[in-house]
Amino acid sequence: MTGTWRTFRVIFRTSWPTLFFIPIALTALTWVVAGAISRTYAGEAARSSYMALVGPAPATILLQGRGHDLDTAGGIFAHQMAVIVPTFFFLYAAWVGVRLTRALEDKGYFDVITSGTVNRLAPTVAGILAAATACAITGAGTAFASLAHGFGVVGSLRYGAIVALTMAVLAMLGTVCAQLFRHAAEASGLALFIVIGIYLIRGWVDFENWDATWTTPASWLAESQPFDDELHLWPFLACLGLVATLGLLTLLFASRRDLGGGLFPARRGRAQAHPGLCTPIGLMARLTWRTTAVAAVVGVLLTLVLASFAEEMSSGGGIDAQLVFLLQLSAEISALVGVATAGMLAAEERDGRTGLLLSTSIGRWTWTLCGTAVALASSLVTLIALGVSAGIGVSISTGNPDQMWPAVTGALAYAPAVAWCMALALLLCMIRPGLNTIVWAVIGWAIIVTLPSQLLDLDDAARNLSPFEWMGQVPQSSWQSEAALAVSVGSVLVLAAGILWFRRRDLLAG
Amino acid sequence: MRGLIKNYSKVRALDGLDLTVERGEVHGFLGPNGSGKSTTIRALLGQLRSDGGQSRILGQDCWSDAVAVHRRLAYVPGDVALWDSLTGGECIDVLVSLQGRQDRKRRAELIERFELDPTRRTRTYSKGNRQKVALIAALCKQAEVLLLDEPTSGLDPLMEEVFQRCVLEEKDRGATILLSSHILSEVERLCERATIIRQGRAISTGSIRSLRGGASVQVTAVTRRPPTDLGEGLGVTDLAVTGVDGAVQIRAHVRQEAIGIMMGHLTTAGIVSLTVEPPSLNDLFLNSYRDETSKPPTSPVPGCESRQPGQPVVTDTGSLS
Repeated sequence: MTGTWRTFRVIFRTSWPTLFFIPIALTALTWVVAGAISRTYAGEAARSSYMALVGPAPATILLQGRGHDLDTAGGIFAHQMAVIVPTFFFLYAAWVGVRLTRALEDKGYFDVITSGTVNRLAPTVAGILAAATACAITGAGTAFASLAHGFGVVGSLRYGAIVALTMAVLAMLGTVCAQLFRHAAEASGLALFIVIGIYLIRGWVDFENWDATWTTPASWLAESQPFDDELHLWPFLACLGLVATLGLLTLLFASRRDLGGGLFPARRGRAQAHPGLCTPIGLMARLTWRTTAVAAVVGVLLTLVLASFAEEMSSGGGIDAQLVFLLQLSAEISALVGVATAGMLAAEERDGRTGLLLSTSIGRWTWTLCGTAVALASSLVTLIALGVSAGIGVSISTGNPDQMWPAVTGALAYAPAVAWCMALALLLCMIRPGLNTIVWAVIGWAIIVTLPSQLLDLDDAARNLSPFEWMGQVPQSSWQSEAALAVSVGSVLVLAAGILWFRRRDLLAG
Repeated sequence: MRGLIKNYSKVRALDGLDLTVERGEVHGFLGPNGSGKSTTIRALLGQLRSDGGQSRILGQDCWSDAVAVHRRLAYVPGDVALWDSLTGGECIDVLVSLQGRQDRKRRAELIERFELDPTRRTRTYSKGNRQKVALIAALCKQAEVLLLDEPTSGLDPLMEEVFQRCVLEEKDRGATILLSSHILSEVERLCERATIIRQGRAISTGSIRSLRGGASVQVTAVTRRPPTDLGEGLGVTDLAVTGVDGAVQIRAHVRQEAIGIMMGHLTTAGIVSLTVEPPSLNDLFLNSYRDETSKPPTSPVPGCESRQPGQPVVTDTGSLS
């Protein structure tokens, strides 16, 4: 197809950090997991114990699915990765699928590129190829990490291949979503819902032990049984078939829509603004409510589903341990909302809108304080909503309605850690827009600590890199009020430093 | 604005820029790409912190009193970025309301004059339509000072005409306007005075007429005999002498003080035809840009000043300096 290679090079030149740094980070994460598994389950006794106790546990089945070949270190590695791959790898794949097929249009390069001797579908094909490259790099990295820790050549290669292929399925889903809407943010939102849906369906199917593992790519990851002696081919073929189908669907949609448009036309809106929009805080709330709503809805669904299995997951170990897991996860999702809102401030400045806004009678103090207020309010509302949904889920699971209040107060116990992440993101954004993305890594690590830390045998130093650990294992153990106070004061100081810095520096654009 | 210096890392974007805009005037701000026009306007808006010199609008410091200054000015950037999820009408209301004033009648009138559909999401707008949103929001405000940074980029000729009429109305109202533009006909029509900037310095400033006066006129003459001397070295440049049907055609750029001398020589040679074209702003602009030596003119005509960095400009009666 004329121009595909040239367009691929443009995408590569403009998006190479996305194509390399994130797969390298995912490989590093896989390396950490593989290292922990190879150390912890080196002996047969440890593996037997895992197979007998951890594998069949309801919590494990819900979060990680049915395990295969758990008598081998490779099988345990794949089982542990079954929670990390959908959480991080699939989300990345879907996002990269949207971004790489839509970014050129969103940034206004598309018309320039397609006005040359370039087939009108070439940018879409190039985007698909670039997304496939990202999946292949991540798959290769996964295979390398597995191989380096002695999980066997054949098994490691098969595992790397199925990771790459399942990621490719999600990337293709992302490219299809990208054709439906005029704007990447809407497509990314839909892709996020699909990834969460896939994970929840997989959990349900495995928990209920239904014979329906064919339903989602998340199940195919496990059903490929990479570390088995026999080759289980059908998950690989299913991935390939779905990748081809979704790829063709992407091209079909791309050929039927206008450049810069989507299959769904943009709706008209109000000719006059609602009075509430005409204030800095109203504007900021309007710009961020979709992100907050999507995160809150996804979070509520996730915590509700997970919490409704709390009784079964506790396996007699007490419901509080399950609440710690649910509430920490809720707090981390809420922190994501705060950090995303801070990121919105950075995007406003990079795109020049802050400059336009600050040419009115709004000052830098007012704008940043309004941004801070909206970020804090969004994350706290999300935290409370998730606490309530966790409480409802646990109450349903245990049949005890008294679980509601401890869940809500327990969620609020993590509010200082949420505020800390948000303040850190705002500080970095005030120093220089773009630096705030570092905080995503902090929350990513916190999620890893929350999800499989017990099984990864993380030491205290590693666990304490997560600010959510500083608050104590609420409600299982007491709330660390001194730490919470210190974190709260630290957040205010960090925020003040950020605002002072912002007042003294040049705006990036305007 | 006096002796303003702005460095981006090792690059000096403004190198002692002096700029004065008198109260109630429309002042053209000309210069090639990368000469520092937008940096100047961003410094006036308090978006950039200067590394030297001072900038004041209506007597207030552009950096430390930015909000107070902004209450009295309106700004239109050259590349307008709007909120994708909002409609054009919502964007106008947000920008106008944040200034504290809303004149619904004027808003409706401007939307009609600029033929903007306010119900469409801004992400569906062309560049010209985005520009219209910023223009309508700025003109709605009826501010004391308007900072316009290439405001008509993307507008069609009809809308450009509407814009020019609006600017003249603002001028009649008493507004002070700084107009950065590459459209010289627009500057010629709207501005009484202009400043030409290059490499972060104002290389000349003055009334459009005086700026023209400082430039050479183009003389095209046909004479019966070759002229013996045309005053080269006294202000005649680009001289071309060719034979045409037994006569002699002469083309040259002549500085105004050398016209009399040249006319004497042409008369002696026997003038058959003579055309003297006054310099357009375009000629002036191109001459200024092409001067690679970047030395400011040393003998400006009265009313047209050339600047050295840091040199005081005009008495402090200006509303924007």
